[in-house]
Amino acid sequence: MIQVEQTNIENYLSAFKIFEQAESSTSSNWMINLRRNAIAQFENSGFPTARRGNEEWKYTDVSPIAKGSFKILHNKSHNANQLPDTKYQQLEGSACHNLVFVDGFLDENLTNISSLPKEVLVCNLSDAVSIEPTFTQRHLAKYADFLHHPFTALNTAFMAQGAFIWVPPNISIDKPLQVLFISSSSNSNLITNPRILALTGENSKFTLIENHSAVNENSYLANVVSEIVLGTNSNVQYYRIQQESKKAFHISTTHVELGKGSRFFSMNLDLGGEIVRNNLNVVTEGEDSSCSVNGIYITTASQHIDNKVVINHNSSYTTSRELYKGILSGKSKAIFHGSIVVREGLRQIDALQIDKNLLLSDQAQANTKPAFWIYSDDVKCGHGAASGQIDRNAIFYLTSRGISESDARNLLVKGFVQEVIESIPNKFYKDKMDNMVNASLLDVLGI
Amino acid sequence: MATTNEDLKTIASQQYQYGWVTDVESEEAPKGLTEDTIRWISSKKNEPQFMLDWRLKAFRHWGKLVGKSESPTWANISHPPIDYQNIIYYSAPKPKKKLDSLDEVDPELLSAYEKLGIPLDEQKRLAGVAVDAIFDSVSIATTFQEELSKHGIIFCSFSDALQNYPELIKKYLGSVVPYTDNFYACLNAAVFSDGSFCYVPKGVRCPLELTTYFRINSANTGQFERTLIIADEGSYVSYLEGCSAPIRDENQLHAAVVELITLDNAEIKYSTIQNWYPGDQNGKGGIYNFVTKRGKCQGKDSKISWTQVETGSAITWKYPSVILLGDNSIGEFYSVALTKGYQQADTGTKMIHIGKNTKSKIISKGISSGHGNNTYRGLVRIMPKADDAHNFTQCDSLLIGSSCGAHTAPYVEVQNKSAHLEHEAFTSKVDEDKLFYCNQRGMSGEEAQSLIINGFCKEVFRELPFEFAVEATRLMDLNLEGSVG
Repeated sequence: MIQVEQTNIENYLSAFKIFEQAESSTSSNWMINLRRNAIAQFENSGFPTARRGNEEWKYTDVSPIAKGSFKILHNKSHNANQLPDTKYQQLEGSACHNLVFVDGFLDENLTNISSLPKEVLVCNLSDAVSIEPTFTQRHLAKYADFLHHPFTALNTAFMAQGAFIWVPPNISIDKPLQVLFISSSSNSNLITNPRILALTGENSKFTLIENHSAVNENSYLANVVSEIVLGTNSNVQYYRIQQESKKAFHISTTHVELGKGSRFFSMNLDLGGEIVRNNLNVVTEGEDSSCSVNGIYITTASQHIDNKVVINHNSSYTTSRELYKGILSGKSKAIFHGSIVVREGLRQIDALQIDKNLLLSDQAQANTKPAFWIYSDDVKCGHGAASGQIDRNAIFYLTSRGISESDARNLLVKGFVQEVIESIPNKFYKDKMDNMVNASLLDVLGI
Repeated sequence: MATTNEDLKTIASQQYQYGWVTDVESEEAPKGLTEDTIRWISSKKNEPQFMLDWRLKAFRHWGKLVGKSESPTWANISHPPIDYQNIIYYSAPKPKKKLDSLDEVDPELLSAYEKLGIPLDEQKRLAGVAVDAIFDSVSIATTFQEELSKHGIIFCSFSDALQNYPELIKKYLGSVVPYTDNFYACLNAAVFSDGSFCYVPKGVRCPLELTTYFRINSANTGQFERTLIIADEGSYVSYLEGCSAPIRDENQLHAAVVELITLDNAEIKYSTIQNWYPGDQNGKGGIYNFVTKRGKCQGKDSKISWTQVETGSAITWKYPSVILLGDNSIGEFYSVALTKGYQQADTGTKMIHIGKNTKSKIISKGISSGHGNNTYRGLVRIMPKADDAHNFTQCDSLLIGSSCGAHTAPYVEVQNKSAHLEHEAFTSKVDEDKLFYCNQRGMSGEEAQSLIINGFCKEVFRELPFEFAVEATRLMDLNLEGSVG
């Protein structure tokens, strides 16, 4: 049950009118209708702020977002030259094809996609609507459900710029494609609605990095929707790095559809944000498909990070693996809500879900809800969850071997998340992620 | 296995074997629920004023809940709305005269319990089991009261307790499950008719197993009983509960409340075999079993252990819980829930860790077959002051057949870093390799299945008192007869 929050809905409705006008010259009819449907949906539902009976948002109160008055930027305002060296370069700009958005708008200077194979189409979403109108219309907003998810509805209503990616059959992209969303504005209280639509053809292969970072430690709302569709036997690796400002609100929905025989690997790293909620929905549409979804969250101070992962097994002979681990300190709060759904009448489903939390402070809080909804009998589904502090015996073991207590502690903390980093199939990214986790631990814990 | 396959076949063809009706004249409250119904029940039972006041408070609160249509909808069950005005809230066999001893109980009733295998005749007793027999809304007999009173143990019907020990009732009633707790507990508080009351004094280890047997007999009635067990410092009691009902086409509501309280160093072991009528093959009829059971480990070093075998009822909605208030207290929950036909079960437990060094253990085994849907729903909450709390949870499900469902919805909330929690769950069908292994050694498919399923449940069954464990194993075989596909 979603209660209608009246406070600031009006602001979004009036902003929508201005937005629609500004976009009218470049939008086709179907796009206008799509946005209108979405805003109507949002107007109807409001933000999911109800505390009673609101299972979907049980542990995450979004009323700070609902009460905030976030402004939509209608024109590009930043100056690329003023952008300082931001954290995004940690993933080595030169090692990737880069598509860069600053405050929601494509930045041509920072973007560098010229060396992509010529068959591949990567462009601004607003251009894709005119370059590939029927193709875009067929896929855009067809996967991420905005009828039941207010934040997705809000994004869909205001979607304009974003990443459009089409990897045709039998093409494999050597370097990863990084889509960078940077918040640079010195004005606080902006809302951006970044969007990604990525599709792959048969037997194709590529790596997508979705990176969210900020220049200033401002308060703003990033409301992201990504739709990723894997064609038959294609292979996608997806890295999601969230290093927003520590005062930012970050709500994201990633919807992944797996075609027959496809393979999907994801790694979600949450470091920033004040209130963060990531929805990851994976649907195995084709038989023989498999996914491995992984995550690390490192929280401190008053951060609140909520990961909801839903794996929908919709076809036979499909496999899913989930491994999420969190390190919590300060007064932070982390939530992991995993759901495995197995539809009726399927054969040979194999699913495993694990979430573990390490609590480093007395005020930190970890809530876990690993659920199964299983309607077929030919399944092997397991889940494990654990929560605890650093093992005193392990500390003793290490100190008895001459390692200082603080080193022992650091070793154990790092060792705890190492299992997730080890799941990364590619050495290059494994090292990159390792560095980022180390940097964050140093930053957060002084380790 | 004690019973042979041939025996099982004969029994299975009878379907639900407790489905007969006893022909006794009964006295019923008028259908429907108003304040007058509650006053009627209360005066019928000659209750003290405080009891009536409490009931009325509960009824007014329930009225508000109904007004806001706040009957719980979050469970993974579905049923048509219940018409609370179409239920008879009180039904009792008409007493011929006031009873002084067991010999004066209506022989019809005695033979009914005889048929159920529950001995009320102390001559033919099962060694070491004292029984409180509840028939529709009232307790008809309690055995071994004399023997128990030698030890200072009070074991009687709730009505008797209200007459004889009102101060104990006043002190503890609603202290674990207040009438504001939830929709069905609130309804129960307003209309409950009878139940069992047990008080074990300081330092006494109850020499007998205590049993309450619930039987629904009349049509259109709801059964609302309330059990209150208090184990004083250093005492121990093992308590068993069984139940059954006739086969009827319409659904009947059973909304019970059980409250357990343990003081310092006390222990209560509470076992249930729930075998209400589950409805027919097509899901018609059956009992709605909406029960609130909760224990409070109030004293330090105390322990409460729930064991349940849930094979009956059309719908089960039940979460026996433990509030671990005292330091070093222990809560345990062992459950086997079986759903077949169109049965639905949404059951599990809550372990609320408040005291320091508290421990809890949850073992839940769900078995789904036919079109049954079985959900484990549980909560483990570690409060900020519960230092060094431990929890181990295992909730496994077994699926038999392709039209059933097995679901798991555990919640784990940790607010203290020193907590140590482990949670495991596994869902699968009966392993084909295991079946093959058994077949290869000359067992039939059905025997093999039965062996594997009993092995799956063993961890729970071994927590049951001996007579119940045999009963549970037999019940499981019986219920799964013919489900090998």
